[in-house]
Amino acid sequence: MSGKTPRVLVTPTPDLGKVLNCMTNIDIDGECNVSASVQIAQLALKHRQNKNQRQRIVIFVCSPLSEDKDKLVKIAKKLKKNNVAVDVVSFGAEEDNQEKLDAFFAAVNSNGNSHLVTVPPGPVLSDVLISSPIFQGEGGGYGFAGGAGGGGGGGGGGGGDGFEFGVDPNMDPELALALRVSLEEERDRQNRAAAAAAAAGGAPGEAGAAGTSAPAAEGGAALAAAAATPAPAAAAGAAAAADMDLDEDALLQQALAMSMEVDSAAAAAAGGAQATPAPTSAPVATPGAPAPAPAPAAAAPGADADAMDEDAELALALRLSMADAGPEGKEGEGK
Amino acid sequence: MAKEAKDLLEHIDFASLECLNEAPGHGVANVLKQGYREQDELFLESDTDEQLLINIRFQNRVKLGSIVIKAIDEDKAPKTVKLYVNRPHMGFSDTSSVPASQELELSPAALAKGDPVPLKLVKFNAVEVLSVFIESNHGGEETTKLCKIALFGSTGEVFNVAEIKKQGEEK
Repeated sequence: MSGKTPRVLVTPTPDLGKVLNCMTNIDIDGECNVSASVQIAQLALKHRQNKNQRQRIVIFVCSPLSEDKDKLVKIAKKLKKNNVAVDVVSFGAEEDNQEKLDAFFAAVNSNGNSHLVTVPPGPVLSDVLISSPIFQGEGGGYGFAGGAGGGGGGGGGGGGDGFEFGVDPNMDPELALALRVSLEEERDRQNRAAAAAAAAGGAPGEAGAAGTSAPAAEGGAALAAAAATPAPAAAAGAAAAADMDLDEDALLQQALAMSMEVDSAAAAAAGGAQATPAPTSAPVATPGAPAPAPAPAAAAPGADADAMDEDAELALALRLSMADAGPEGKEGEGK
Repeated sequence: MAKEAKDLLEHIDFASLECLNEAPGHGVANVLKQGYREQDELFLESDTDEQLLINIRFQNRVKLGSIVIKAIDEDKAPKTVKLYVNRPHMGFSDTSSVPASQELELSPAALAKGDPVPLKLVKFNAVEVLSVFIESNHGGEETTKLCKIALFGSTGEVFNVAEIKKQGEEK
């Protein structure tokens, strides 16, 4: 947006390569002319190919603005009227521009669709941006704009998976996928358990489950502790899990435990839970079971201390399944 | 052949409905959607200035017979309304360059009651996209407010298997 006159370096395109290519050709020259640039950007957006896409302009400002506040506010109002969202990244000359940009942002922001990020000198620009609402805002949706060239970009596709489990997608996509899949399976199982509980009715289901768990119940103090703590946490509705689910649970827990060797506490919890419902899997049951440690709700903070970030979700999933398995154990103990 | 005008509410494609310069919280759904539009407390209000531009897309081609606009706040009630046909994704800048299919001057009395305003049938014969541009209001207020918009007309040839069957049974 400088030089002789602001100009469009590249029209809105989904092709990231084109945009990056033009960025390298940007010269630093002349004075910053935001009003003309924004108007040119608006025009470029107006003539975009896919009219169903929403309009967004991202402005990178690092020089003192020559326009006065009123003019900027007028431009902002025009943008808001035309449903154009604006993201402003201010660095370099923040103090000079702060007041003007604040007024601009207040005028253009409609229901939180726009953002204003001020970057002080020091941290790397890209790091600050990634952690700012611009990227986090709409689940990772972002747009591009040729800052110096005054070209406006339409809103582009999304970024990662919303960083559900920490920074998983960047560091370890397979892990992220595994976690998501296991969580979903867990939820499915929960739903099935709840549905089965509703169908089978309270008493008969519990008696059956208690019967099968009784023989395996003499696991000892470890099991009692594991069983006792889940019991209060378990929802009454989900208490009677149907028999047919238990074996599947056990196998699922095994698979999860084995794939997640990182969290030994969680693995032990899974081991403890398996022993109760499925007598057949007794051999796998107790791979060194410091069972009191991993118990769910009551000891949750303790377990969480070990299971950080990406493991926390998995631990939660395991705990939930344990919570179902727990009451059967308690029934066995009582009898 | 008498064409009875029916409410075209179910033919509006709400997914692509958009309104430019609407205030957050007082959006166009309040005046168009079933149930919402009957309540006067739910209204559409403009945001930055008094103009509003509503782009309505229909699921099939319709013939528009009349339009109902209801506004109880007299000063903020719309005065000049321009209708554009089959211009998808209109913007405010287009309103000055594109000729309107019909221009309406609304009176506060009619607006308060919500009387239907008849439209020139010829121009609204095959409408897929209707743009309603509210240019000014009666009191010269900063914002324009309205409670209901309803469109009446007919949908032309719509293939309805159920109807065919019925006629067969009658015979």
